[in-house]
Amino acid sequence: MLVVAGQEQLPVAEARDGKGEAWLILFRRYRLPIYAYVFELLHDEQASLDVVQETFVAATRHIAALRDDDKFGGWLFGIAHQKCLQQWRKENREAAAMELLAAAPEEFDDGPGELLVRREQEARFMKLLDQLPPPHRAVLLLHFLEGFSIEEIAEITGANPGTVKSRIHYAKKSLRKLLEEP
Amino acid sequence: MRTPREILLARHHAAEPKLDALTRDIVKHLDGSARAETPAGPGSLLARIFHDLFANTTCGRAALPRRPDANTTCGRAALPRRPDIRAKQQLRPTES
Repeated sequence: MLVVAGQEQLPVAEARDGKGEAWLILFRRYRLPIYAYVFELLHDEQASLDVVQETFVAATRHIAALRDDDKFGGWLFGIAHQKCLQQWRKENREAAAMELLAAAPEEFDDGPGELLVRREQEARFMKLLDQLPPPHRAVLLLHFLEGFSIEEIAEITGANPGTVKSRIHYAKKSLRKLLEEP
Repeated sequence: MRTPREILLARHHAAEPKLDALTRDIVKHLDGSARAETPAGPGSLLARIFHDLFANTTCGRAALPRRPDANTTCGRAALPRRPDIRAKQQLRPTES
């Protein structure tokens, strides 16, 4: 698993007590990764900002429901993911996303190691990421942005761990194959 | 060579000022509502006592000047109003 920030000491308990400064620290830590995640799924700046705002407001209201403070990041991404699904439903894009998912094969072998992208390939990498079916893009973004485990991604997206694993393998294999092309 | 995380965060770095404003706004409302929910000091405590014991009595109503709004008493007007954190949200699309 990719380690993003090691064992972070985040002021989740203080935020639960309603301390604004604690929330500010949490928001600063997660606002850009959450925005990147949401934007890469929705491709709309204003809608993405709205989703980030709704996610953070929902977090301040429902923090009491979070049982394990160490899982704050996954919990927050879970809220953002649900907001994206709501946005997709508004735009009737869920059906299209599910069709794309059904068309994707389920089991793949994938080599170990972190994916690294050369500077000259970055634009191509983003284009390839955009071309992935939304469910595959979602799990890959969660894997890349925060290094969530398969179980955590399964919790965030509501998919079963086997499906998440195959989606990650499928997406990474597709990216590697395309990046290796001349 | 950069990791996908580095590429993704760099791609959206320009959104930082908007995200900063957005998060500060949420925290400001959060602090505001927390302050409004708990009486801050003797002033608000006195206002509450005044409201409870005096303003709603017939004698109190007679002693107080009439306000344009018949439903408003001086006691109620003296109480701090809770800022509506949802007011800003209502400007944005509501959840389905």
